[in-house]
Amino acid sequence: MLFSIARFEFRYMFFSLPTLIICCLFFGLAFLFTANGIEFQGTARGGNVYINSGYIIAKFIIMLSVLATFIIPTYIGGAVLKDRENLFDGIIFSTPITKKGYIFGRFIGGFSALTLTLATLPIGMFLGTFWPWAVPETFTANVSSHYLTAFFGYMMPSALAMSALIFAVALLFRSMFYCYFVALAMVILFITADLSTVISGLWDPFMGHIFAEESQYWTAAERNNNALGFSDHILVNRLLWLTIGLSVFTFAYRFFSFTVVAKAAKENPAKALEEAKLKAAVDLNVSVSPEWSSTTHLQQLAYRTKFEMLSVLKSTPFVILMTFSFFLLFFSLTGRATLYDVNTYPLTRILLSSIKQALTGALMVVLAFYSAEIIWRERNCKFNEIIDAMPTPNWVFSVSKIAALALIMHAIVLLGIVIAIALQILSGYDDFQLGNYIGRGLIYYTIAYVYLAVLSCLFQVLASNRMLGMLLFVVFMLILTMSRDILGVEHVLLSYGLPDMYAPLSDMNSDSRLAIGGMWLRLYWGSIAGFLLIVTYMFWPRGLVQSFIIRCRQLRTFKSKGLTVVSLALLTIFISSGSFIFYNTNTLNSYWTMTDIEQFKADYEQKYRQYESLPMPRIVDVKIDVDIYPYQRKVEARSTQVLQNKTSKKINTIHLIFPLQLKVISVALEGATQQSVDERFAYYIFALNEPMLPGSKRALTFETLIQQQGFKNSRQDITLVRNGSYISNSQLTPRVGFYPGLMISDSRKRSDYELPPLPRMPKLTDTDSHGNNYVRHDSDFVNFETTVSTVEGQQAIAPGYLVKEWQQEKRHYFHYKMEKPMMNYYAYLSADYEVKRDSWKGIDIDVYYHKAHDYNVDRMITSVKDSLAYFSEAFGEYQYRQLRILEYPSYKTSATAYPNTIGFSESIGFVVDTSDTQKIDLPYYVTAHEVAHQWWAHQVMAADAQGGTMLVETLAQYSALLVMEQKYGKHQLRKFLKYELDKYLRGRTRDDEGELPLYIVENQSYIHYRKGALVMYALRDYVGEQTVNRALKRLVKNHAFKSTPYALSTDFIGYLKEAAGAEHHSLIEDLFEKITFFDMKVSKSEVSELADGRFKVTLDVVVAKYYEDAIGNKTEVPFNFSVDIGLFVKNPSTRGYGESDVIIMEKHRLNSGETTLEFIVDKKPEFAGIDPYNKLIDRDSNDNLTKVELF
Amino acid sequence: MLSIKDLTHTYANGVKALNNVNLTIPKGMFGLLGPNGAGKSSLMRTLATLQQPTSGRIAFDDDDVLAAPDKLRRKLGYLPQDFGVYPRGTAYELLDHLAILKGITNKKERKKAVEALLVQTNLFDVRKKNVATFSGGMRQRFGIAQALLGQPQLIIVDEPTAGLDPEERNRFHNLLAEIGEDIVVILSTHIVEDVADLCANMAVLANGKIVSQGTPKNLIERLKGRIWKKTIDKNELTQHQQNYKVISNHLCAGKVVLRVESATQPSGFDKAIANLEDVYFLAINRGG
Repeated sequence: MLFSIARFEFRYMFFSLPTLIICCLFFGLAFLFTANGIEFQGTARGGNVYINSGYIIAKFIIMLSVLATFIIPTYIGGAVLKDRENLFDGIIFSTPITKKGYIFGRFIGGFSALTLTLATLPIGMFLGTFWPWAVPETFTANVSSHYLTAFFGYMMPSALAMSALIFAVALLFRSMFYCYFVALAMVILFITADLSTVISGLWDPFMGHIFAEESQYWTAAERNNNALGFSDHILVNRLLWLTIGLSVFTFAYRFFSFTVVAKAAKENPAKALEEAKLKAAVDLNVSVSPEWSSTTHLQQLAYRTKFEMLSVLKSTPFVILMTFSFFLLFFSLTGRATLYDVNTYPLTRILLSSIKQALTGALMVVLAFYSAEIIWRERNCKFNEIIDAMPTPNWVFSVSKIAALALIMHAIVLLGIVIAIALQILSGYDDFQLGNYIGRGLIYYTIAYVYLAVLSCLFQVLASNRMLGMLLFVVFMLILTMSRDILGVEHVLLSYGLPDMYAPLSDMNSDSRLAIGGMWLRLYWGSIAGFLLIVTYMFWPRGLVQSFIIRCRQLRTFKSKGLTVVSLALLTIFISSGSFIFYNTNTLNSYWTMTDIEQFKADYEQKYRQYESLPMPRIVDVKIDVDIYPYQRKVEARSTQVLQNKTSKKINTIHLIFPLQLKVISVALEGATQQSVDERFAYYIFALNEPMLPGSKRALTFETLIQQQGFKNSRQDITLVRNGSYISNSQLTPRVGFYPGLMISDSRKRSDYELPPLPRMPKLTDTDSHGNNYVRHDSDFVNFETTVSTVEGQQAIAPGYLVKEWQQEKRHYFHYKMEKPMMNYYAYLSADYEVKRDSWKGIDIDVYYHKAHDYNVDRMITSVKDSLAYFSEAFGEYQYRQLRILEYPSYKTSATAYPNTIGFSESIGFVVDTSDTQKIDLPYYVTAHEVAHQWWAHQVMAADAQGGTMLVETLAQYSALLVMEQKYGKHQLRKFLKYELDKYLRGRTRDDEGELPLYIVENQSYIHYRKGALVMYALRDYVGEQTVNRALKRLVKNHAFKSTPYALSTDFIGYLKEAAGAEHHSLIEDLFEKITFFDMKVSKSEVSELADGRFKVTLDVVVAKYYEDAIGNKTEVPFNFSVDIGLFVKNPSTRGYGESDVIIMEKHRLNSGETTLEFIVDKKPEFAGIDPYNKLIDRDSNDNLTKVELF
Repeated sequence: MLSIKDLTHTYANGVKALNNVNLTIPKGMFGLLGPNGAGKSSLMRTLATLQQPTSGRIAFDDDDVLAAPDKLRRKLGYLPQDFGVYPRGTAYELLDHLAILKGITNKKERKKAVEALLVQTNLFDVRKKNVATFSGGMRQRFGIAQALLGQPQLIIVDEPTAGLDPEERNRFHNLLAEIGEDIVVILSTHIVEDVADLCANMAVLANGKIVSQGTPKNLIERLKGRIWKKTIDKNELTQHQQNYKVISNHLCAGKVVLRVESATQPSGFDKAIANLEDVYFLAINRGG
């Protein structure tokens, strides 16, 4: 019997229209994924990862198993629920069918159909690789075990566990909704395990997180070649979920019964008497007078809205969803980590983004699931024929349902806001910014989801089928989010309800101009939503859902004046707001699609790259007056710059390129005539009347204007704002000669436009480039003088020393002059600043900050002092007599060092909470890093060649580490190093073009920042601080302010090798010139107490060393090297770990393979480690440390 | 007065549920008899504005029902053949809810109306109980209560007495008879007795067609002197069915009682008094 039930169930499920559709969909998706692998490979990263490699197959299958969860309720839940839905259960349950036969038969049948359906995924992927028009370079040889492991090992255990859970829920609760809810809960669990550290990856039902963790450091080579297998973690996870699924299934099996037990009622005589009296008092002669005014309908609307809301709010799944979402919200609100896991103060703008992060999932669920639930409520409980025959107009039903959804969404966000404010009160933070909570939280953010909910309801109504409606909505969302990439539709007018629109918040600049475009767009979408609502209620299904033609015919019943008026009003809003937006995005501003930009760049290259090697003079002197009008969003610049022919050739023409967003009011070049102007590229060519001889100079004068208006289609301009304008010279002044930065850099895009490959950076051996710095090619160190003005009440700052300051005609003027030549790299900031002044050995230290952000100003000043003290002693003197730190709005999140001036975003240093002394002191560290750039960039500038950023960024990282270590001790640095190691290992897996050794780094931040810090710290550890600093001092001495040539990474490595001596050459080569990995672990550790009360520790350590190439192919090489061995009384990762917890920390020379070490120590160690501070780069740094076993 | 003209409905699968139905239904109780699958529910749903016919017209007191369904709904009380309720909500709450939808926005008035109906349908004692947990009969009474809400001018009840015990059925008949004097009440059923007891007018629907209509009295009158009965053994049934125009047969104490129609008395048959059941069976036999 079991078999025949299973067979029937299988046939019923498998040979059905939904299965056909799902199979086609899955197969098509998988087929396209591999057949069109060239499109998807980019998302795989890590260099060339083949689309049919084990890694990609596993990743795809795991991702799809998440998606497939939503079909499981149909197959598995449906297997038991269809009887009940079709009211067939009474018949089925009274047949002589056994419980075992029924439950297992149905389950096996449904699950077999599911398995076969899911099998279309690996089959589709496999067949996709045979598509004759696919790009062969995207494939490696098909390995069948990859498909089998991914399908049977990774996907099917998840599917079986999910099926068992869902089947159990269907048996126990007899409701499809709960089945879908379980599916959803699993997906939320998956997302949470992925996003937060609260839930361990082991609990991820789809093992997505575990797989991501295991493969996180896989290089391209490993992704291509590693066989898929079952590590301990994967195995535990698979077994865990199978156990959970089967236990719940067993439980449900035991408690399931064919019969339904009825409850007995209680009797209460006193109450019965009272009831009888009440009943007798009822007057049977009633006459009612129904009313049909618009007031009646509004009352009905209010009543229905309340009813619909309560129905959702009281439903168990909703309560579970909310519990879950607010659990997430709690972690999101309290974990406001910025860089290096340091928390910020509970600023409203940061809490708002936490709210968005935590509650977006809940809003999506409400709009996708509850829209279906709410629309089908009457039909699901078969109350529809009664309700539909009520004399209530369609709009009351449809509007109340959608209004209920909207109110629920707003209530969710409102609750989030209340919790956020409570958190602020508890933390003693009092700048609540209720306006932002309401404007950005309740309106700007939530309303987009409400619009989507309206659309989702319309789909449900038109499709008159829950699943089809949901599918339509998902397809719509896919098209909407992918239209930018795939369809090239980028105009906001075509992106209905796209929730994200760039409108960042800043405490410094409370003006909400950046949100204006988004607000208009919401009005415009609102009119569309209004139309959709009208269509929804015109097609509102009453009674029997009939064919579409009949439903259309039924539209004739709508002949209401009100409808016409509302439609006309909506049309007016639609046309007027749409036109206004279009006027802003396409007339006031120019509208560029991604393709337009690419085409522009490609055309620029085609037309002007021919001039790339034309000799050009360089800027040597800059005099520039800048007037900033923050309220009018205007900047005027007038400048005279001196150009000098530094080449050995005669120069006949001079080319200038102005930034596109500005207007060139005038431009003149001494002794030259304007030969041509290309307005499209703002490319000016001047013909010199007399050729410019080597060494001779010419004056260039120009006047430019930036006048911003309205709002743009995307990427609102954030430079000119009411408070905190921040504009750099590259936005105000022209460049001399062909500017390579305007060319397309992405190699795949280049080949699309048939452009030759462009190296990321000139090779180190290309000596021509050694005369160019990597900031700009048209200048070296220049003289600089500027006068900048801004509105009254603001201060405007630029590099240089303040010479004069005055007020005139309600404007504030500042005249700055730099006494020494500096990089042609400056910016203007204008804001209403507070200033804190201090000094160190005659050097003025000024911090310009936003009044409310005084938390860490003193810390920054201390850091400046400590840095100046250390750097001027170790590297050479500080070149200026002033150092300023300027806060700018959080629209940018970095810090930038200009000559004697450091721009510092409000989001990183100024608002972080440094009260936890166990955490990295972020403001102190970032300040030290930026101060270090006054040496590494503003004294020693690197050539525009490979390894250039090593000299600038790696050395700044190293300098900051030293200052930090001086203040916080080397034991505190372990956290920092471990963080950098992780960032490096992750970064290298995402590099499209492959990794390079540090000395030829091509502006790859994971190498020059992350690996750089590790390498320099290890170097210092092995060769000594004095030795490294000696080499650095020499670097400064030989290269400071030198431009012919600029410094090279090899210069520094040369000095280093000289300073360190031959014994360290191979170490220096390993660190800088190769991609070297160390694999070190403690395989056994034992301690025993000796008779004299001391302790004997025995450690078995295993070490290996290998080199990797750009894509991660390994070569093992002999390990012969001294490494730290440490014994500790406390785990170095724990809070409060410090100097006193170290028993021993000393270097031991080790060779490849296993070594046994013995120590006699006074204190009993709890932990032992090899390279416990992660100085050397080890892919598995966790096994370096182990708990010591008592022997 | 409800008038139905040339009403035809064909389902997507080609089944003709209604085939050129023409009816004029005056005030008072109107019985619509028909076997299962005759198209009764399709007709009821169409009259209750829940289904659009393929063609035809329906007018109620000169209002075009198909063009302005809301106008009819304001005068309508409808009890569908098979219905459920919201999973939450007591009898009182649900009736109150429906009363609001029926435009009874005055709170006092609504309370009185709901309570009166609860008493009339004998649900007062369970008014605070969840309707979703009601037994079939109780739920049916709830359905009747909601159909009577708001003093409708047209009441359409589809198989209303299904699931009711005899006492409840009587109570329901009395209730209908009481209100059915000044308004149009359409009672769809396959139980001939219901129509015989209650209805001033009736029609028989078979295979989507009206095969007979009139007052029960007239219809019976027409058969006067044409109905004959005979008690036979079971094994004689087939032979009799071949030889006579058998209207119906039913078992009585192990024997079969046969009724036939004939202008003259067939031999061996006794004279029988024509009843509505004969009308019904004859009509559907002709129509089918």
